[in-house]
Amino acid sequence: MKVICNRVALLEALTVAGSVVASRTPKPALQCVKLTAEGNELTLSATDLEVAIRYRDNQVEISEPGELLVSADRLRDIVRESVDDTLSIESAAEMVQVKGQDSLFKIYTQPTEGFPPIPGYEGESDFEIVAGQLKQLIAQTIFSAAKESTRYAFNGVLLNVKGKQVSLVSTDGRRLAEARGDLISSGKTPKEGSLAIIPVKALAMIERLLTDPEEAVGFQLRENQIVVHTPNATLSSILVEGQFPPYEDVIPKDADKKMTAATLELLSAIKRASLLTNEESKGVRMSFSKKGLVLSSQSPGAGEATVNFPCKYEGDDLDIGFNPAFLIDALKVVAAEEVSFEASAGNRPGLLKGGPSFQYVIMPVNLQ
Amino acid sequence: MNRIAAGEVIERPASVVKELVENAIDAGAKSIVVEIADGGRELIRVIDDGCGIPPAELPLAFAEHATSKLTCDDDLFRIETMGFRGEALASIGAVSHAKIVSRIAGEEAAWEICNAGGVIGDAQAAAGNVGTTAEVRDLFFNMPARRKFLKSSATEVGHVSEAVLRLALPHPGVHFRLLSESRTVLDLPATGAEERLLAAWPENYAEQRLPLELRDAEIRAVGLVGLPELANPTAKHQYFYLNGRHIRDRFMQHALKEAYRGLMEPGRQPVAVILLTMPPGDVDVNVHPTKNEVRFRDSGRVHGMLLSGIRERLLGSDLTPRAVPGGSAGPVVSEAERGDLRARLAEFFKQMPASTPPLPMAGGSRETPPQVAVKLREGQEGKWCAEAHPTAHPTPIQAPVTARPQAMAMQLHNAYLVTESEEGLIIIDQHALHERIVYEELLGRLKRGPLESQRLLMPDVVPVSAGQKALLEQIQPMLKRLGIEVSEFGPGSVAVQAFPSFLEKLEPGRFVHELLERGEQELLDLHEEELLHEILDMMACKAAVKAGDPLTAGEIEALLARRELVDRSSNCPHGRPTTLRLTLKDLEKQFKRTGF
Ligand SMILES: Nc1ncnc2c1ncn2[C@@H]1O[C@H](COP(=O)(O)OP(=O)(O)OP(=O)(O)O)[C@@H](O)[C@H]1O
Ligand SMILES: [Mg+2]
Repeated sequence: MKVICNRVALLEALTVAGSVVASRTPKPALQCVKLTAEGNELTLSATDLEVAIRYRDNQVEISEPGELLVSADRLRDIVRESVDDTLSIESAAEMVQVKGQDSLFKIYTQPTEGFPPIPGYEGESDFEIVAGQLKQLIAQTIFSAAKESTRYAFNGVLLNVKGKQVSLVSTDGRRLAEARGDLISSGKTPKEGSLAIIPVKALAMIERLLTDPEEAVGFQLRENQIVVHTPNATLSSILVEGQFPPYEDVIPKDADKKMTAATLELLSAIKRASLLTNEESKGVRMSFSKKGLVLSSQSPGAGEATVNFPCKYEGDDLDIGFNPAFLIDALKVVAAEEVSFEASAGNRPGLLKGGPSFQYVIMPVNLQ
Repeated sequence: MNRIAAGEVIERPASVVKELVENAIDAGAKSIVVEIADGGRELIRVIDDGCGIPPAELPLAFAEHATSKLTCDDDLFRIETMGFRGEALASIGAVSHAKIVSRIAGEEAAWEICNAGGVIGDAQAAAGNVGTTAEVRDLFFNMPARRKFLKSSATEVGHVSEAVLRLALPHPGVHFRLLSESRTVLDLPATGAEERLLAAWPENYAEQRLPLELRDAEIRAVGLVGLPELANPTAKHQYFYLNGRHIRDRFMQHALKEAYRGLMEPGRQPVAVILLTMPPGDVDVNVHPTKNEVRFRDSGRVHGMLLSGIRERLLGSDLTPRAVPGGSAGPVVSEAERGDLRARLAEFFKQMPASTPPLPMAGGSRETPPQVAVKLREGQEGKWCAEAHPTAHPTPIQAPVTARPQAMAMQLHNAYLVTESEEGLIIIDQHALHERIVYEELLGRLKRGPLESQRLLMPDVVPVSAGQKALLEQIQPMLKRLGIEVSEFGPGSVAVQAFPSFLEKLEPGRFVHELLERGEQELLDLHEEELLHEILDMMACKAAVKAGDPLTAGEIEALLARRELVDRSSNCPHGRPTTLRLTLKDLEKQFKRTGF
């Protein structure tokens, strides 16, 4: 194999592929990136056996096709520190040479047979989403997924396709976020009721691959696996096993109290009210009345905070406490300028809505 | 004398020694020498320089119920001498070949009397100094089973030595010596009270002690208690005395152990010597043939006084263990010396660039270099020596170790924090310290009301056994205070509905499951209060940063700052130490810089 590469493009490819590589593994092959030079593309493949990626770099000149397997970290470090515009990559016996103007690196390679096969993207997409919209859907849900729950389904984000609509839903058992969007209408109607739970790590990787908001992102759902295709990468991931809870049941429908406010102003008020909370007293009290909202918090040892927030409110007076971080998380990703907040009682869930496409259910804390 | 009855008092050579030495103490001896051969099987001889026995009374010495120590019946309730029954010598004589030689001051000669297995001879003139020598040979010669039951000579010597030590502790003014086969086993010259107690202290740990002095209107307790770090699996370093008599008392032992709750690992035993004095009328010492059990008239009062007194003493002291076990029992560095050392060290540190970690990483792996070196506040190294040393704490051991305000702190291996203190350096286990802080904060928070509780959107279902369900019902109200709400959910399971908000990183179901699993095995018969502490322990442990968590400079600073705010920060709730210190003195010793 012999290729001349644009250094910056190669670095980007190695950084993306490198973030998939298993960090701690007894198998040296899994710490490697596989380079395949074919046609006029250099494909970089990496996997940690859960997520796999093929990243295509076409800013290359291939003089001899071929493939090799080399430590992802080593190669990335060399490419990052190099100063040349282009680097030449050439395989020699059990080695790969990385040549710059004034430098020559020879790195030992691994036999390519040790590398697991990485699924490609064959055939047509089940459905497609515009990258810009997908990016927003991911941002609006990924934060409220659990990290290491034994309720495995919580460690992923549910992808739900219905008709021409797609939604992403996530919960950690304390709050739940749902974001909706539209599929790109192609002539073909997608398979009815496609459901998949995508691991958070894979979703974060997908988000990273979305560079051009206009481009179309294709999805294929297979048993146990999702494959996502963008113009320069194909990412596949094992799906989270388990049943996502029937989330629609927890979205409150009986809320008889409702506030509306400008998103950023509410965000600022909550942030300020939470400045004096601490580990054991996280809660911020929200007191709604005709006059609007009063946010307050107190924590022994730190002090007290009160923020008056005039806003539109309909319904009986209500006192309800929340972990402000949960509200802040959501308000930061709301795309609409105005949000509404609905609730029924101090010990019942609250519902935050940002435009027609985002809703967020949040459970209160018991205040003293 | 009935041999069986004698056997109740006299079990082994050590019991003979105890009785004879008690008699010598009662006789006002200033020097008591105990000699034994073959672990006491062949010979036990106790020589004292006490008042002696008048010749006329000598024939009574071996008589049953003959004692010179009680003057009226009423006296039985006011026992102040070690002996009071007039039984010991008779019992010993019944099971051995015994002889007493005694001479009182003013008399020209000594007199002696023999007892051969209960056959008492006539008193005869003999040679001897003022005082009494009691000699016991062929112990249990007429009780072959009992004699066979004795352990090896070395073991019996050990028991004898322990018996002499116990008797010696409350009598610092008396010189005690024990010789076995003419070799000195124990030599305790007359000395001061505290020094004498150190004879029972674990060797090389003299500095890890706190003197104790408690009193109320009638009861007084003095002694030494050990720092929690000295705690060990057995109670062998615990000595309790009542009115000068060594006793075993479960109330005192329990009070002591309770006082260390949370400061040492459960199941360990603190080191302590505690001497209680109280009006003899408030206690019955005649409960057990060997006189080492007593019955307090008001045991609750004794328990309460010891528990709160010792606890206060511990909490008011610096319990930080030392990284290097104190090699000597000598006094700590004097004020003057310390000032000098500090000046030199200040100078030394001043020359060091602030970014260099102050410690070489001995044996440390290269992959995990010190992560953070923070300057907690702007350095004022030059002012070190100008700073007045807090003279309010003359003994450094009583002042909690606080990091010097301008000290550097750094994290090693993502697990330990190292910083300077007044006396040297302190090494902190980040998990243990944080755990302790969280625990104390939760405890404080609980005093003001239930913990803040986050309701769950989807109840976390936990399978439970019948036993666990019963336990759950029992502890339900307490769980509620802790912010955990659990409700019935079908036959074999329950659902967690709310969970403390500060434990947001934990899974409610898993925590409750673990709690119930543990509960079934170990928490069932705990008191409410103990149970609460156990659960708080669990919470704190899980909420705390772990070893391996990298901390930012700000987090380190916050952690160290909070350290000073909580009680008992020197131990985690499990009782493991959070902090070790290396004093300058230890360093000097390690670097062999004693001329420094
Ligand atoms: N070393 C001694 N010096 C002086 N008098 C002694 C000595 N040993 C024994 N006696 C005298 O002998 C008496 C009997 O001693 P013995 O030990 O049998 O009884 P006790 O000490 O009075 O009571 P107890 O049975 O509780 O020990 C004592 O009361 C005391 O008068
Ligand atoms: Mg006696």
